[in-house]
Amino acid sequence: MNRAFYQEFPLSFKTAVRPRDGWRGLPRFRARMRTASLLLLGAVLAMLSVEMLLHPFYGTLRSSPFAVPTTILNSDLPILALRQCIEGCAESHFYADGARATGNVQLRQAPTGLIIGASFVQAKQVVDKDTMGAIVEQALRSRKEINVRQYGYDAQSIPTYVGLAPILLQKWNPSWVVVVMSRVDWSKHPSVWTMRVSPDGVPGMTLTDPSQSHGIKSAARLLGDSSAVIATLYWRFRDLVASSDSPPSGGPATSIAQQSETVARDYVAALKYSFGDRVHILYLADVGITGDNDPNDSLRETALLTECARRKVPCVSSRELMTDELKRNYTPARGFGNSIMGEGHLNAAGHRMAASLIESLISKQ
Amino acid sequence: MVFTSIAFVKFFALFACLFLLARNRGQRQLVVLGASIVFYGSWNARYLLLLATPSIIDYYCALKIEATESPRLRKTILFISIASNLGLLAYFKYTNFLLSTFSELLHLPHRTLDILLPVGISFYTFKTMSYTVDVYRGELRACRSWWKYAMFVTYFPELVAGPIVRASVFLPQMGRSLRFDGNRLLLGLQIILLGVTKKIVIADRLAPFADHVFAAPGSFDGMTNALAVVAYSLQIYCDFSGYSDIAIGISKIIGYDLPENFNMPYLAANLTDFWRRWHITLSSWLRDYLYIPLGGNRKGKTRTNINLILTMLLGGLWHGASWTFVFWGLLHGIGLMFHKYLGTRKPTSRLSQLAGWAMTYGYVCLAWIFFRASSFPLALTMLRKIVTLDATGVRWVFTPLLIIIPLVVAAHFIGVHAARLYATARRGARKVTAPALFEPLYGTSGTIVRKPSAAAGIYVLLPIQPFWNGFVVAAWVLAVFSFSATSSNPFIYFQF
Repeated sequence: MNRAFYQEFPLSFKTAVRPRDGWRGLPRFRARMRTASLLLLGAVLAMLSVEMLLHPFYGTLRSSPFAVPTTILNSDLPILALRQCIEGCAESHFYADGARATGNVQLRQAPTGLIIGASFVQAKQVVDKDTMGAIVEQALRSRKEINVRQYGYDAQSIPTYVGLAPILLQKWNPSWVVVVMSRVDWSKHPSVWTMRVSPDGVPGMTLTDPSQSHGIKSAARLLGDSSAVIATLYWRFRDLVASSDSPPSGGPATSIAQQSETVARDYVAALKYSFGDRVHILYLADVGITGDNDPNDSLRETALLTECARRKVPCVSSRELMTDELKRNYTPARGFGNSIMGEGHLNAAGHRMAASLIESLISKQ
Repeated sequence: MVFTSIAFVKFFALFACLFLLARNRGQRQLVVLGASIVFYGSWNARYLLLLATPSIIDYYCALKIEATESPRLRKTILFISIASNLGLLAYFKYTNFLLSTFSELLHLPHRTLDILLPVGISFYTFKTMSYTVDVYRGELRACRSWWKYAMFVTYFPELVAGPIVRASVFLPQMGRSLRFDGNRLLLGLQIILLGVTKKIVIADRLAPFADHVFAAPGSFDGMTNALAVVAYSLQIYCDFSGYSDIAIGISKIIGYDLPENFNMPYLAANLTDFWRRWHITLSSWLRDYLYIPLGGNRKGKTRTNINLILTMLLGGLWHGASWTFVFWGLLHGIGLMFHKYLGTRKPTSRLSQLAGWAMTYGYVCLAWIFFRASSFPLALTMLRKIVTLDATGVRWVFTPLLIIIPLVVAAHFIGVHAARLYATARRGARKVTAPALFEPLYGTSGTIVRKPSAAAGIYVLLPIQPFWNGFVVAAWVLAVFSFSATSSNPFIYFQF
């Protein structure tokens, strides 16, 4: 053992040194190789142990819109259960075509109502009975027989719903369609379809399924799908890289206003063209914990409601109700005990608020 | 370049390669100096000039002080050194604070200068000031090599957020060979892992909760506000002690030993004890270079109290250019004064010990409100909500906090009992880390034990057999990755 090391080491600590007898006489290279192999073996065993511990709590959901025209579409029972504890803790169920279960019995021969949206409709954060579709279904069933089918596609936007419209309309022939929109619809995400809307409101669709990508990314994704450890490392690494990147600077207010108007005009036109008079739009406003309005979100909301009025599409924003609930009952629509209150996805109270707005939209029909 | 960022990992990997390639001590020191310059320059290259200024001035001042016999001249040179250090600190950190204070007092239009606060300026100013003072006092010989002195000033592991290393601790270590040592690597890795765990599993997890409630305390009910204060108390402790641990660990791998900065401060039974355990390098600096020169407790009770308040006020101001920090310092000064007034007898019964601990922790938390709040009105709103148990506002029971509190309590419990066991066996040990409990698992053959020093802390190596090393390190890293926060925040003490 290096005596000088201890002589120059002023702090007190206790250490165990490797026993000399067993190692004496071994060539240095062999000893080093043995050490490295043992280190590696220990690390591999640790990875396997952690994988075994985490695997039961791990699962992925790829609710690709391409799942809709599958042969098992008519299944009456949800086939997939998903548990998560990132925002709240909930178990959610999904049908084979990716529709989120409402937890209510599906009635035969009853007309169908459709709710379409992004992760707000997927609603992995709440249990089936607390989803907006489940609440609407229960409320409407007191007056008439109806089934509510809710399709939520993580990080997708209007082009995807427009692309799916012919399939969904043919399959369900819904009496009404509610499209749930939010700030996310104005941000750039890789979408299954890209859409270009002509001046007369006809959408031209281009299929660009991002899940079909090949190479290292898709290989990593495949590995991540089967291993909790690899998925954890992948996501943490991505977070670290993302946090190292500087945040994008916001554009001037005028360009945001202009962008809000353009996007709202094209979206409303495309939805009206695809779903016809059956379409309704619910805008989930950003109402933070203080109840103050985000100016950019107000711009988007105003542009959308203006365009809806112009095209005679029934639209409603959740801002007033959410602000009122927050100020009167101190109930935020978004956020959970383990995430940031007032931000993120809708909680159970938020889904109740969304459901009451959908119900009022439908009853005006 | 934050320790927990990818950029730092790349930087350290490159540094390690160059460090291993270096052939002798001089080359290794040069690599460390170069790395320190790159590290600090990565924030803003212009700051390097600022860092070079005290390095040059203090180096020559110390040489001059040592060479001069005349007490008057020595004093003058010391004054030049201190004035240059404090002048830089005052300009960069306090100019806008003074301007806004005066403009408010005189009802003038609010005006500020475009001054960017150089990261770590408070830390390295104190470091360089202590050097010239120590040379002036004759407690340290002036460093004869400017390169060595520059390396002490710029040493990257502790440059931006401490621990505040005194020249008397660092310079004598410069004679070390800095040859790579496996045991040091293991020891350093263990301390780094502890620090990273504190930072990204606890501090970063609690940050969103504390940040949101402190930003708008009026929107939440009293209980949520109280929980946010508890969360912040754990966040700042794990954030800062985590940084210190990483700095100590990196330095151990390089070959230098940095002083301990924390010793389970929330177990303190009184405020005096708290300051012996919290930010030890700052509190001892303030004691040795401010409180004692002011007269300490040698000039009567009134003067002792004044000295205490003054020291803590300046300690508060050191943390940030804001009246909330000054008030935080004042609260601690008053608390220390009160404790001195009550007497320093140790509580005998368990109940009085518990009461002492609860009062100390409560008082420290009360002071944290003013430390963290961005303004007095927000701090007072929070205080009112907590004191009146105000039920109006959103109730947010942050569940990660409910998991972290028992973990922190358990870690302290293990720490205390391990220390007690260790102290019984080795006499005099005050702190050991949790892995000490598993010591019997990996054998103690050939152990070398030195008499533990009070502030040093005792770290026990990870299991020494390579297989268990690999297993524990990999499992620890994976656990940290699995349970860490999704986003990493800069260390809180970077702003000071």
